[in-house]
Amino acid sequence: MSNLFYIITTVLFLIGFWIILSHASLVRKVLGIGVMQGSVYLFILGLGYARGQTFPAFFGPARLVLTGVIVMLFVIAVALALVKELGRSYRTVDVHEIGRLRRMEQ
Amino acid sequence: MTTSLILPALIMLPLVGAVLVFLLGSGENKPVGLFPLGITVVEFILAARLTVLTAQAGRIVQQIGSFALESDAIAVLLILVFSGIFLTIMLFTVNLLQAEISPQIVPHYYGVSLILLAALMAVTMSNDLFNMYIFLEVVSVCAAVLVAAKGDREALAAAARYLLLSMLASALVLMGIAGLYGTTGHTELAKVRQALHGAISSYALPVYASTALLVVGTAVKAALFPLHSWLPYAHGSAATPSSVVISGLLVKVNIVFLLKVLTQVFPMDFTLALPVRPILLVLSTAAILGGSLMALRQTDIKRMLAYSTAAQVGYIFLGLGLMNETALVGSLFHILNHAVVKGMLVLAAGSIMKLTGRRKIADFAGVGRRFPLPMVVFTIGALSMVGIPPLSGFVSKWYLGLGALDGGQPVLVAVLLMSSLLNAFYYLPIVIAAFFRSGTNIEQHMELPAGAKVSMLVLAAACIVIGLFASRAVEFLEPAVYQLFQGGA
Repeated sequence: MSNLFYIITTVLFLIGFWIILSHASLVRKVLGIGVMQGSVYLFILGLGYARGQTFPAFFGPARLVLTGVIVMLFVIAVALALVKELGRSYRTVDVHEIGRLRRMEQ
Repeated sequence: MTTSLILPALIMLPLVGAVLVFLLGSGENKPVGLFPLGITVVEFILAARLTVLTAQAGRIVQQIGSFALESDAIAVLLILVFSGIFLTIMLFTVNLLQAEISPQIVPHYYGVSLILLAALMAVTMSNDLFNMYIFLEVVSVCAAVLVAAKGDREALAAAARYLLLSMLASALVLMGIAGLYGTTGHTELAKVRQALHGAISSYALPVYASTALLVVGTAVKAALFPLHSWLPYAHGSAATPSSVVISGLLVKVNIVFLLKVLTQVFPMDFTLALPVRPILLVLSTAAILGGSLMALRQTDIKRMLAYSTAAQVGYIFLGLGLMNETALVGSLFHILNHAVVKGMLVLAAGSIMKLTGRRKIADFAGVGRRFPLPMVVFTIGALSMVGIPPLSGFVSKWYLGLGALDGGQPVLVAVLLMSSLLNAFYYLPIVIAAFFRSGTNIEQHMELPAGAKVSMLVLAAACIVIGLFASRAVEFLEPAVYQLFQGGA
């Protein structure tokens, strides 16, 4: 069963990566990164799982995840704030559109 | 100050300083500029004291709860570089920062800078993979904010580009750390190393995959050549002090992370057998030559300096790829040397841009006669980049070259020589034009504050002194580097 857990988190990681590659919107790219990092924390949490127990077998993973998730939140908040300012300035958050506008300026 | 307090003090001092800057913040600008300068001066004095203590003790470890800080000769060198470069940046910005970014956010700029300094210290002294990752995230976010601080859309776009790429790279690094944690059950460097002996045989694939993720992620964050796309934008559109932070500190601290992973986590025989080394050698050669060729094509001075940084990052990775004693000494020395020299070049170019309002390389003709001080500093930096013997640039090339011969790769010596030639091709014409050609109607837009002049002179003096007393620095480093190869952690 625990293998299933690792497969699911790896698939989530790849889905996050796919979101970043396939979407032009900066907001979605940030969310894709969130999915990627979130899947890693899920993976770490899974390491503390032991069969048949309702609490983690050891607390190391939980400690890492608690710290990591807070930092992730804070980084994503700054990234979204940057994207928001960028969107206000260019009137779009589409990377291709922003690239076109920047080439026109030069 | 006692030994036990000095390591945490190096992290806490800038953090407390940052809080005070945010609290004192708005209103008058002048005391705000001087206060962070004072903090960094004290920080540098502490770093110097730590150097003396480490030279006596060899290695200092300080346990605070479950959190350990340690310093050896290598860490001390980096702490000195980071705090020293920060000191000159703070000196440069007194009374000058208002000219580049909007005055209301100047206190915030200083606050974020001090948090960045604390995080740099924490990464350097930490001995835990996960803690290093957390502090590197703090470094990235602070750097993105410093780039965006300029406020125009160009800077915003560059900051967003940098932060998104860095976050993506962080996700890869995090997966790598999670992989090592899963196979060994530890994140502390020494414990991972111990557990890895057993883990490599039973979990070979996860360990290799984690290593690949760590290397690729760090290569993006350290702007190794094909993955450097964020560097020219961020470096070119940021305010001058932010550019120094990027090329002198941000790129370096990620290389330090990779160095710690390759030398302190993995057993040396494992690192030496990794297929990552030939890849790093190829990429660093590509970086040295490709970065220089790209720099040659630039018309904008700050862009040119950015591509030059991409080339210099190649030098440092070259030492990591060779992974022998001499090459690693060369790499570490180049971290010091490049931080100082690129700091000089960026500050000098930035002051000329402020003084004349010009940033095209073609417009630099005659500026050296009009404004000798920044241009003389720029010339010393340029000569050091080319590798003229008494200056610091020569020493790192010398050790990297010797390391290449030790590693049986004489081709790389030719690469180093080629790159010196290329450096001469793109730096010296600027110097020659600035001093020996007459410029037309160069206007003076502003007066350069005393702090800016002093900071450039300090860096120029450091460049010459480091070059003259290089053997002392190398003697200080050598035992610590040799120890990495002895198998002891």
